[in-house]
Amino acid sequence: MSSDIQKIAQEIRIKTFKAIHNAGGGHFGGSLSAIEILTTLYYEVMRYNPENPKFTTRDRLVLSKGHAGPPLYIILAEKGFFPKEMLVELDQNGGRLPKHVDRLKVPGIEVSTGPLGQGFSVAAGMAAGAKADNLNVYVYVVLGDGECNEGQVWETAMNASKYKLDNLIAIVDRNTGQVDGCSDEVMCLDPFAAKWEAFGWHAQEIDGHATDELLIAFEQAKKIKEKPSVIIANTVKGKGVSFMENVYTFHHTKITDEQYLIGLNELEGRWKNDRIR
Amino acid sequence: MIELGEPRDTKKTYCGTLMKLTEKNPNIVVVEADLAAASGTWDFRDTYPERFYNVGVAEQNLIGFATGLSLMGKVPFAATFSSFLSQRACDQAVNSVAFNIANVKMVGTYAGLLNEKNGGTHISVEDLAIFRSMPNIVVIDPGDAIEFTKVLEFASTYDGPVYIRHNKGNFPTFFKETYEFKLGKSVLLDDGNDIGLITTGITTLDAIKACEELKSEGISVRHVHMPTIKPIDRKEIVKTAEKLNKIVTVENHSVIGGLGSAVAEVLCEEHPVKLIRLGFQDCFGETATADYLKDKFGISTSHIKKTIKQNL
Repeated sequence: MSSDIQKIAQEIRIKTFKAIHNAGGGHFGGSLSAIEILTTLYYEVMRYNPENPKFTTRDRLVLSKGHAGPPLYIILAEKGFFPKEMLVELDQNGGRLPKHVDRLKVPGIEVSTGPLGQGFSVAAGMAAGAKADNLNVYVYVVLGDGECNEGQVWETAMNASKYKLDNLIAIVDRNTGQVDGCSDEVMCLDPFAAKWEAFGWHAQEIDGHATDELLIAFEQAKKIKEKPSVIIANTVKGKGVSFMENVYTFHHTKITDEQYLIGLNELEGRWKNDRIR
Repeated sequence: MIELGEPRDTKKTYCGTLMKLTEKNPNIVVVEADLAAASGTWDFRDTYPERFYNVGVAEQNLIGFATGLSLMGKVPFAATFSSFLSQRACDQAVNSVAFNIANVKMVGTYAGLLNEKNGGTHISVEDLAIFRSMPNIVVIDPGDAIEFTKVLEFASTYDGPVYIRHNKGNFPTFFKETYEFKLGKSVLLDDGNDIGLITTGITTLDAIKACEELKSEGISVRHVHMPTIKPIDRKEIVKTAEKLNKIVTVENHSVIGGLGSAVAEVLCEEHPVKLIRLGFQDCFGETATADYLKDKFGISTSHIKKTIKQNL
């Protein structure tokens, strides 16, 4: 099963790369790093129904790093939340798929996000609401590691721990890059897992591109009671495109048609990385 | 003559009303940021602990967390000092609440100069301006405890973001229990002929007193109480301007961006007349009692009287 998801994830990655380029550029780095996390959630972990997207006991996904909209939009379209033809509207004037995810415009989006740290608070509120009504619902929230510079993240971390939100599972896309550089230099988060543990969370650290590790981590997180869980998913910013990998300037950018062809050939396995390096 | 009722405490009104409302609607929850003492919800906390959340001194998370609760069908009343709510949680009010059109009731306590001795850093002279500028949010500054109750009842059934000022104090009421609050509708308290007066929040009570005293001097005022700052009652503002060529506004807030600005916008667009705006004149408050501050910043009964007389 996991190898299938791994394959699907790569297809989503290719579509994401195409979609961002076709939109005239965008958040390549943090979109490509989050692919396996989002794919595993939607293809294996979460309970949802595109035919009845608002049913009460669905699991919720909050994309707190709201700039990683493209892969989520692609997955939602693949799963039938809206027609795939809509994907060409990404970032376009008058289009229905804005750069940062918007719940009022896009079917399947639970919370509009963008300003970092906010989605995490909202996710904790949703988990508390579900708990208050004894709903068997998990709230999954995907954060960026740069996002964890925000004070609101740690306000929320304390609060989720206080209210023992064991139905809240946070996944940090730890791609170690942010707008102005390497996250160690911009604002060091280490010791990262220890920080979460100190805030009362159950923390796991895994390879965020290995879908089998993600699956096991989600299973483990669900078993933890009385405290929220975080999965620190170590990823590569710009994963799969050699000239983008771990190069922070590809956080948000345009690429040339030549770069696009190189990237696409690499992603589709026609070229090996060493050929162009 | 407007008959004043016995003084009522705003904190007790807030807590008592929410407790009644949650009896009928268990989805109503209270969210606090370590200032439940200021909003007055300790009884709610002790009676309905499972419907009460205290996020600690964390205003950003206060509003974000409340947004999440609302998206699960809860009706959160999230409160903190109006200065903190409008400034520290401004981004969350805009992007978590307003942008999502989340059903969050944001309650700004100790509004304006009612933060008294906490001084300039805690006296909100800009909360109405800040919230008024946010799309999708309605903004209400109730005049007395009866209206406050009705506003809370309204907010609990209205589906969408609301900002309400919670005016700390023990004030006589001027509405009757039969009063019905209507969003965006003002209340004509006196239909006088000499000058127009539009007031909101706690200034209405001082203005009522000013109007009574002016009446005994033979001056009649068309006094409009304007609880909803947004959407503003354009019709009533235009009506007053058509009838009288001078209007005075009074607010417990800066004259920039609040009631005075909202009235000015309508007058300029629809029926220009002379407008005199009483309120904080582009300045901060300071540590002092409410009465001292009203006097110093020009919104006391005597200032309202004086301004009206000077502009007849």
